Amino acid sequence: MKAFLHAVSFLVRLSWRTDRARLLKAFALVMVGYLATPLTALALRDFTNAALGGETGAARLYGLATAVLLIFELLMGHFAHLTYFELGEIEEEALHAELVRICNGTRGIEHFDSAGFAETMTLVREELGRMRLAVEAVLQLTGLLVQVLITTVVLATVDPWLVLLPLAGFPPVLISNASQRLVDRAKTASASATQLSRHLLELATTGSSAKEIKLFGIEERLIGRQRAEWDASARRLGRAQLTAAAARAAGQAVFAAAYGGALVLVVRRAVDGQVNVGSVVLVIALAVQVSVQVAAGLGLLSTLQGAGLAVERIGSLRDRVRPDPEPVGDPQDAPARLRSGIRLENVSFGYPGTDRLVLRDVTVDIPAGSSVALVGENGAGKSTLVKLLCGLYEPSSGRILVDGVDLRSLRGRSWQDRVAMLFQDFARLELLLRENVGIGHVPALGSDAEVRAALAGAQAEDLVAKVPGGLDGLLGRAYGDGAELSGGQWQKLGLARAGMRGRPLLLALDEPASALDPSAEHRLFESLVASSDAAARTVGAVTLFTSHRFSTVRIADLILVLDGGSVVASGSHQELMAEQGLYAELFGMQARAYR
Amino acid sequence: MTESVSLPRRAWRGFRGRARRWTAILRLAPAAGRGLLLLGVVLNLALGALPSGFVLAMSVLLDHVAADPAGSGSPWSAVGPALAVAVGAFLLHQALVPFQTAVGEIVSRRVDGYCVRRLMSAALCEAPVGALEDRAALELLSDARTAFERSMPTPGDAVAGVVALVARYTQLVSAAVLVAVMLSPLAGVLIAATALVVRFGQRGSLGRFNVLFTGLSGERRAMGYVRGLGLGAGLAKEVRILGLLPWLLDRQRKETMAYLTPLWEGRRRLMFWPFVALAAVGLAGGGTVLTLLGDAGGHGLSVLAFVVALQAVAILMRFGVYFPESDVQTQVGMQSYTALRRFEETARHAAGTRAGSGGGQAPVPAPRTAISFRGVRFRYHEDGPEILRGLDLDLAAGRSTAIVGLNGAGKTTLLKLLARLYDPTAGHITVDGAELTGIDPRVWQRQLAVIFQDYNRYELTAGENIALGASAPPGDAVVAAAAERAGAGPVLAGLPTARARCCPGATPAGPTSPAASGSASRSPAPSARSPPARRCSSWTSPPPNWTSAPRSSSSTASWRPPGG
Repeated sequence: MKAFLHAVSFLVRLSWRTDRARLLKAFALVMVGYLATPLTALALRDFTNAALGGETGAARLYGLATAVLLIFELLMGHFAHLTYFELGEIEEEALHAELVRICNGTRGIEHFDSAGFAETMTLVREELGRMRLAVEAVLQLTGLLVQVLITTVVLATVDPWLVLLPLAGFPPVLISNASQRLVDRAKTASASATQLSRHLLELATTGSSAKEIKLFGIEERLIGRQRAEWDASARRLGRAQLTAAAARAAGQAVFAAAYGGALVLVVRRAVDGQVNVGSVVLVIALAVQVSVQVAAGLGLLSTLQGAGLAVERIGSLRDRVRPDPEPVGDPQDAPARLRSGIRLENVSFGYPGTDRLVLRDVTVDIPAGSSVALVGENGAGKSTLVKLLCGLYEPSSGRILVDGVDLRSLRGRSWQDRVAMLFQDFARLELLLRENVGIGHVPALGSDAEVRAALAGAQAEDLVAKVPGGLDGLLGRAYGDGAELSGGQWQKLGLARAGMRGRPLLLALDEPASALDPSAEHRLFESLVASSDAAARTVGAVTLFTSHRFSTVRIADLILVLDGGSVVASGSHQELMAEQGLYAELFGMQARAYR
Repeated sequence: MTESVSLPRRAWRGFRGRARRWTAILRLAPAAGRGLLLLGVVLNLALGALPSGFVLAMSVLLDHVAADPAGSGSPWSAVGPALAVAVGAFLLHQALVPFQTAVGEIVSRRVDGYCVRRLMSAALCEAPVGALEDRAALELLSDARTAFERSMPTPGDAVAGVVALVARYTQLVSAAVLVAVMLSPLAGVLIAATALVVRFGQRGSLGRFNVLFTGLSGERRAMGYVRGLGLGAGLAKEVRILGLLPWLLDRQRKETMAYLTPLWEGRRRLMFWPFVALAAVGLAGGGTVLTLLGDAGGHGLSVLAFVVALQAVAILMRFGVYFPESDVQTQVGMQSYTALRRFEETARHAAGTRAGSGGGQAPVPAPRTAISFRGVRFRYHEDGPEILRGLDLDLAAGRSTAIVGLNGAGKTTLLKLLARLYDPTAGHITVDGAELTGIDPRVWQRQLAVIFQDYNRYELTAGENIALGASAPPGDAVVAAAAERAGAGPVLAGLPTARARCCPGATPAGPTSPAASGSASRSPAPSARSPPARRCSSWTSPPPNWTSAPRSSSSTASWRPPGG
């Protein structure tokens, strides 16, 4: 019951917020349509009495009135439909925007690592399309309630005991409640199977992933696996739905028995001559209507209950997202320029929900204006360190200081606004070329000059000529039919994006050249070194990058060697080579491999 | 919409289109299982007939009541049974309604399961790789797939909708029969015709609306993409660091309005005035029949006949214009299925035009001399650039060959040709002098071990991910051995449970772990196969595991085919 009320209040508030006018129009149309129904029953009664009584003139009049009322009832329903389809579509958009705000409205990204979050999101997205029906359901349910009220009054005029009739409608409602929860539990339980099914379907129907599947010859195995998952979840849902239907049937039988009783009452009165045939027709007409209405009402109810649970799920999504913590100490803005540098003080980090620490007690001083290279095995914690410095995660313990100020006491987005980054799994935005690069600094998206300058900085000017439409050309095939780019070309765009932001305090590049061949990488780092030198001089910017190629790593001012989450060595290339430690050993190995 | 096409011709075409759609749904229906389908139909027949049964029983009852005015003996002996039948029919009807929805949902899921399997089969087994990169085919696949992401009615919903229609039309027919028998055949036909005209008139509008809806599929795809940007992890880091939320929300809204504006304009145009016309028709037909009934009532029609006819007319006039359980579903649900069938046709056509998939099923012996390219030319599309221009290359057997070159030089393309994902547009590839096109591609591919740069990450357990590389489902020991060989032991050990599923980000090292440690998930894949005729891999980045020399040398060693 609570879920249902929650859904109703949520939907009404949402509709009121998104489009008041349409809501009111739809409401008016629905009400007129629903009011026509009891009036029709009255018209039928009078038509019956007049016709059987031989009053032809009156009979014709009442007959026509009945026809008009019936058509009216139909007409209003249709126009109400048109209106609340539109309302529902606007609301779907509003809800999507709400979901986007939930996913991306906070600084942290831990919720994306949670399988529970992903599963709930799958269910919510699935049900978002049905929210349209939920809006319709709220309006119709309101009309239905008014109609039941009027029906009760009319019935009472035939026999006062009939007033109790609508009460018989309650047991089915309560049972319907419980049944809906049953079905929904089954849906939740099969969410991960549904997600896997969808994942496999997507892999199978996308060119890039399908080719690997065909090559390995595992088509049958994947199809079989998909079938198994689908069938398992279908069986579970089917069982739940049949059980729910049986419960609902029992509830409606209770209701039907009550109506049987009502008919017996009225027929007895008719037999005793207290009411005429017309009144019996009235009661039958209303009984038939109410039975249809209760059936429809239950359907609407289950829609709303389903919607209520979906609304609860949206709430639970919101709860799973860690809200931005209050700034620690006096809130400040990030400095205009770095003077001393960035310091990590006893920083440890483990992903939420796991025991393992990815970074252990890391203490490092990064001077302002320096370039830092992070080296280490895969999984040593390099990317995690970069993300912590960008503020995407909070350290589990310890703190990060920028010019002596804790990152946590920096206000809002002031640190993020001064960070430029390119991650290994950077986003390939399959929209316009201009947008791909321009989102690096949204105010400059429309400025051709700035976008071209950024592209030049990433050695990617040739792309403007290669892509049909130039800066306004479309990339990729997800949005529309755009140009396909190679891995290296996408990476250059990512670098251009990073270069859009002028005067960053931190330039973070995680394997920025992994998709480039050595000569392109060399040119790129030359250009990066030049621009980061300029940034270092003007604002004391720190350039941080990770790479597997020692030829690149050696040019950094400071090299940090990570192993198992700890910094095992740090210093310049010369210092580390002199130490004859792990770094020297690995450098030697790679150098030999190239000889 | 061509004005030059005459109205009757358009009506005929519309009728044919509709007929085709309904036959498609009916042909798909058995996918739900004949037993279940039969159950659904019988259930719906009962639901349709019971209201008329109720009407008849109550009318018999009223006839007795009216015939026996108060005081003259007990009419209960006649009234009693009629009342019992009426109440019984009502009760049964109420009890069966919940099962109509439940059975419908079960039918829907079964049919959808069948369609999904068929779609995957078409994409993976029937279509050659080239078909999956064709823009038109991709759009078909997207349309076919979207419905199963539950944002639109699915083919299963369409079938369930048709089954539900049985109840509606049974009700129509039984009520019409009652009017025809009790009042007059003319009245029965007239009122049934009115109900059907109103119903189909609206249905036709829905059909025309659907054409509009289909025409907006491009806008829907764009809208879907932009919406997805904000909900997945893909853009998450950029959104936070670059402050993209306002831009993203604005973009999303723009895309949605670009889609909704033409949709609404069309919907209003097609569903407003035509419907007012239909209302006029309804009024004319209904008004006429009720007038006839009123006159007949005054001229000696029995109470029984009158009451039956009246209730039946009311049922028919309420036959309804919109059936929420089936209209949208039957109209739109089959779009996904139509897209699937068109894709299957495209795939069959493309597969048919491919050069020789001849040769037997016997495995091809490992090449003894070399695999040679002679004058090989290749381009992906007819109007695309030529990637390989007269390539001559010998890959000697028993030796490992590395291919280096700048990006875009054609290295990955070479690999795809070697793996017979594509065939050269000119020139020959020969294995020990025999044409590669003469060998069955699947036989050839089974003997290859390939890792691509954008390898697949399956959201299955780590063990299953590795096991997919084997030609037949391997045992745990083989999987573990392969993992060790590729240096993925620590990754497996680090996962929460042995059977932990690799959700994008559910691994403890975070979402980039599959990327950064992706090298580990890459390497095991070919190692699980034994023994391959040829191993090839595509790396345009340096060897990922540079820190542990002993391990990397052992995996390099395993690249040499056994026995040279």
